[in-house]
Amino acid sequence: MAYSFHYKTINDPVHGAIGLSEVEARLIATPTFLRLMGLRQLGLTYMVFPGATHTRFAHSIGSMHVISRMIDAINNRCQTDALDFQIDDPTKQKLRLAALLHDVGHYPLSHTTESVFYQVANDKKASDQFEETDPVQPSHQTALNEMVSVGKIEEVSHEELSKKIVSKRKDIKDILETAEYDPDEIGKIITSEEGSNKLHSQLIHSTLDADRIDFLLRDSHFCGVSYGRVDINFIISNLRYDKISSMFAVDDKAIPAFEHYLLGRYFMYNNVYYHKTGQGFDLMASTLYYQMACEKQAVGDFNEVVNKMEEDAWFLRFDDSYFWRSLHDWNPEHEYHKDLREHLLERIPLRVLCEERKLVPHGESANNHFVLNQDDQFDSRKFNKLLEGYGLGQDSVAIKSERTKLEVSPGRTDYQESVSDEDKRELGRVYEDFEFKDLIAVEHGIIRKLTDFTPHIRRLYAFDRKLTKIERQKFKRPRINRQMFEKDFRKVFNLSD
Amino acid sequence: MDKNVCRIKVIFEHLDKEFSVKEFSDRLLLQKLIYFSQFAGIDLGYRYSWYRFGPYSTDLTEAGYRYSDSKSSYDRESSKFKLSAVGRDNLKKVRSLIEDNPTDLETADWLELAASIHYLKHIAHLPGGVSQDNIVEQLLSRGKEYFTKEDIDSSWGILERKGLIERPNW
Repeated sequence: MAYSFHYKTINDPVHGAIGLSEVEARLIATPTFLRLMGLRQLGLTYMVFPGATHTRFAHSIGSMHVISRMIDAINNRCQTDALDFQIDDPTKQKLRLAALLHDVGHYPLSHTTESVFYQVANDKKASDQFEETDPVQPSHQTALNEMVSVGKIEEVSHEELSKKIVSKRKDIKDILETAEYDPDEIGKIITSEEGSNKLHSQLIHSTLDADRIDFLLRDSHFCGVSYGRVDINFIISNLRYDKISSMFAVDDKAIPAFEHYLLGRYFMYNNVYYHKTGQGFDLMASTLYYQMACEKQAVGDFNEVVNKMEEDAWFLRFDDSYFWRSLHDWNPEHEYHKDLREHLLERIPLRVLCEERKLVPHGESANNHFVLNQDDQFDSRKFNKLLEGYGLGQDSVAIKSERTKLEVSPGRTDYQESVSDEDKRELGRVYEDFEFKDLIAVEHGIIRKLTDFTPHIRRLYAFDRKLTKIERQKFKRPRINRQMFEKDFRKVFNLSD
Repeated sequence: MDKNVCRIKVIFEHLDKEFSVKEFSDRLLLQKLIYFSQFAGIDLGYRYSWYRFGPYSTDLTEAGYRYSDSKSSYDRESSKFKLSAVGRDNLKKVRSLIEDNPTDLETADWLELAASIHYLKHIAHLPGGVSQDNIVEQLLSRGKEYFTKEDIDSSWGILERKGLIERPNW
């Protein structure tokens, strides 16, 4: 069977002409895949960066193109080095399909509501093993800080939903099976299941994978910032295969470009993904969606999505518009949520009252480095008094903390070669001094130095619900002045300026 | 409030162990107690990968630090949680595993060894198969030379008697 990856061509603003095989062209035309046109790649980021309206649809096609280029580069290098290894066309097609379909399970507003699915799953976890004597009733959740960061829960992640969609949604499944591809196998490549091929997992899920390369370039392009404009062409053309570890690595001359790529990601996180105003909208949206899920006004349970996944009328509208429709249709029980909802609908941002940025040495608890935290050392009496002075209640503020990613953890102090395969993928592999190694083992590398620290940002957000609509229109400036608040905050907690 | 942290606290109390992340041995105990509690049926959703001291979950370490940072709040909140009859039954298996330590090792070290054998047997997909000989070889080659061959063999025997060599779950 001859493979053609140029059955059709699509023009892309980031990569130029992208060739498609016949099966890919058919998959892209399915209603399931077209649903991605309704999912913005960066959720609500467009409220801050107006150009960021690009979708998961374009990103998925871009990821497929990138993985193809990576495969071609690895094959070419193996030929040049007379290494007896090639990724053949059938395997290349499978990997292209996995990259194309890796995001079909994204939730509305992408990662914004995914955090709610984690939260709901965390609430439900092991519920038959424990009894709660005084459970918090959903209807009493009025605070902006009700959502806690529970971390990623693999079982309800969008990758897991993608796997389910690929193996269960009829339109996708039928096309794959007719073309003699096993939907379950494609699904397993997407989730990098234990036991699957190491190279395939690395191409789909690693520090330098097709997904991350595409979104770095694409997000940078559409947000109108330059941080992500790194020399991807040079990195890709310098990939080589290590037969012993069955992984690819970046050749020594492209190590600086690889480091630039990681730093580009870091700056994108710092300046775009964790932008103060964008994160504020994200906090509002996730708080509201969690409340809607608790009140059964929106779906927050993974199993419910899976059960309804085959109903076209519901699932094909389960995109960003689902969030906005649910929000419009919802009549919140509490005034608090009514106000918050109105603020989001009118694009009135939360106010950042103060912000702390720290480089936390690896292995240390971040809380010891921040005044803004919720641990036992934090003097909440002082803090509440300060808030009161500004007319704010505890339910009107939230501390949001972010850890910016270099994604080459676990850091130099804990570093040792031969950690797990998953760690190896995250560390990034390079070829230097005639041997394959982790990027952070490169003595002269800048990344090696930077992994001793994890950059953290903590911000205190306030939702000033006391302002009436007329007042909001009247005051061009926010009622609470950040500079004044931060000054008072420093005074109360005896911090130097 | 991370409800899982409250649940971990309840599990530790039930097993008469102190929930802490202060010392290395405390963190080791946290990792391995929750590892076996999950296989006993109390799935808190922590997923493990191989690390220097056997199966390890980064999310679980973070949960441990979350507890340590806000100890008094979590101690207060966890009093609202108690184990159900099913949960108590499941933890009996973990308690018996702790009590049946066939080595002279401290509890955390014994659980490290038991969890490492269990992980390599059922989860790691070892290229050389999952025979006792291969797993012993793998353990020793993965930097666990501080365990003697006798420790490994007697631990294997206990896990076999408890049915954990045949299948991953109790």
